[in-house]
Amino acid sequence: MFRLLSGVYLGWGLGANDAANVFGTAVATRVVPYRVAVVLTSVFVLIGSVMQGSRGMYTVGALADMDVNTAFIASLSAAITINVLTFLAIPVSTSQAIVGAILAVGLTGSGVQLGVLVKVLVSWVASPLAAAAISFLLYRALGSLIEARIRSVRIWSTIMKTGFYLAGIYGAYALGANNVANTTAVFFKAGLVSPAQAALIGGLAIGLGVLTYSKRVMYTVGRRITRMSEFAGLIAILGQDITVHFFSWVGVPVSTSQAIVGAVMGVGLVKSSRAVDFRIIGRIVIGWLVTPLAALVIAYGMLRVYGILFLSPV
Amino acid sequence: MAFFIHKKEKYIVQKIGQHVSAVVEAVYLVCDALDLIVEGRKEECMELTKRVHKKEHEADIIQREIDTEMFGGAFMPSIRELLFIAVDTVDKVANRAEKLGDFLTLIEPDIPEEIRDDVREMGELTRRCADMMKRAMLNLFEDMQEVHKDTVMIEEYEAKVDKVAWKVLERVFKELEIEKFSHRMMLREMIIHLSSISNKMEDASDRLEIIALRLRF
Repeated sequence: MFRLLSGVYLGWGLGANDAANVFGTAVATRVVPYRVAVVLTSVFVLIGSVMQGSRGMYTVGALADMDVNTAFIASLSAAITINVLTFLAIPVSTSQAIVGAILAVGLTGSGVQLGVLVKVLVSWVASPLAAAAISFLLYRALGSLIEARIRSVRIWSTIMKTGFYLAGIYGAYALGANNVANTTAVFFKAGLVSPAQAALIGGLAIGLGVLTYSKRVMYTVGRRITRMSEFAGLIAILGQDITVHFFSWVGVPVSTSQAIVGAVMGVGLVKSSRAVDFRIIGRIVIGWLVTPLAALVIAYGMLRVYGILFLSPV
Repeated sequence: MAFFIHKKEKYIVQKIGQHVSAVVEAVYLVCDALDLIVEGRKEECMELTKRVHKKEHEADIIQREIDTEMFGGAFMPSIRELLFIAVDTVDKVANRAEKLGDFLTLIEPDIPEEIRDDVREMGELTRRCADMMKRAMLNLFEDMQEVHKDTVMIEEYEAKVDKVAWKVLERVFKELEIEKFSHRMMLREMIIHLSSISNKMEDASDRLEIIALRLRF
């Protein structure tokens, strides 16, 4: 069971990093106090993980066959990749890191399920695009509705505040439902835990990361998004939430960071076609390529070492 | 959670209403004092200017209450900052009214017959401008789309006040036979104090319009 620790570590890192995409704006603008934000995020991440996290488990698990040891190596490699790339300031995604690591397991073992891999790759590309489209439509629809109906600063302010709370809670739920598979799906696949246990352990690990180490990232990311108007920021978060939740129905873990970038661009497109920042798109593409490749290389190396040391064919 | 904050916001809106009312009352009182000085009723004028002081002080106390509550986290942060500035600018209108009141009490200027109607007209336009400022402030919380119309009206009244002020100053310096230059300067100062009230109201209206515009998409 100690092997699960690598999954817990991966979940902890995920929580520390990705809580920012959920409540960062609300915290940075002081709409929601940090402590309230992290407690709400932890609770709803756990609920999302337990209620809806299993679908992603099956997809991630279906990528390649693995045993407990290779699952441990895959999970640990993904965590190391996240740490190394974050240190090098390269955009990183847990979803992409774990897939890269599992590919290494598949390539050194019984192969990779290409159909599942294609589904995952398509989802990665589709998620920021979907977030952009959803945010664009939401901004158009809700913007004109609120402008026509809301005539008081007080009511506007209350709607915005309530909106940030609800979007944060929903985002935390969606994060848990979608991303919990990244942390413990390999152990479910290896037969170490059931899907429900994997979801519970992963959800707790993410929640722990949110509670203990999310403050700095939350303020950094939040301030970046708050350069927009509050309404635009809220819509971008909602766009991200809906997208991430949608992909938890599809059963593919996607990057919340890439979804929020797409959502921000979608909101920007309402005002100007120049909102599309090709440098940021470039960073996303680099994330798609570098993160899984780095995880694949690290996992491959660790699997070789494991093979040599323990004399078992890898 | 946001619904608890909603209560705080309701309280602040109520206080903002009280604040702008106190400021407008101060403006009305000083304009009434001006009418009295025009008629040469200096004793009564002095009584009114004391009440201007009280109103200004009352507005200050309410403003402090508003600030304390707002820093406690009411409203969205961007709106909070703008509202804070808007309330402060409205408060400065009361300060200007107080300054004119002080001037009238201390200097007790004699207003020449030829400009009395114009001075009264300036006072009346200033009152209307104050009414509009109050309406604009309240409309922020009742009907934001009306704020722009209100601010346009404030600008119009302010422009009219400036126009009459210019006319009065021209007469004081070019047409009227006033023996002492110091008397001309005193009248000039009184006119400048009076028109500065509507100028400040225009500043406040700009702030209010920014808030209303901020909430458009």
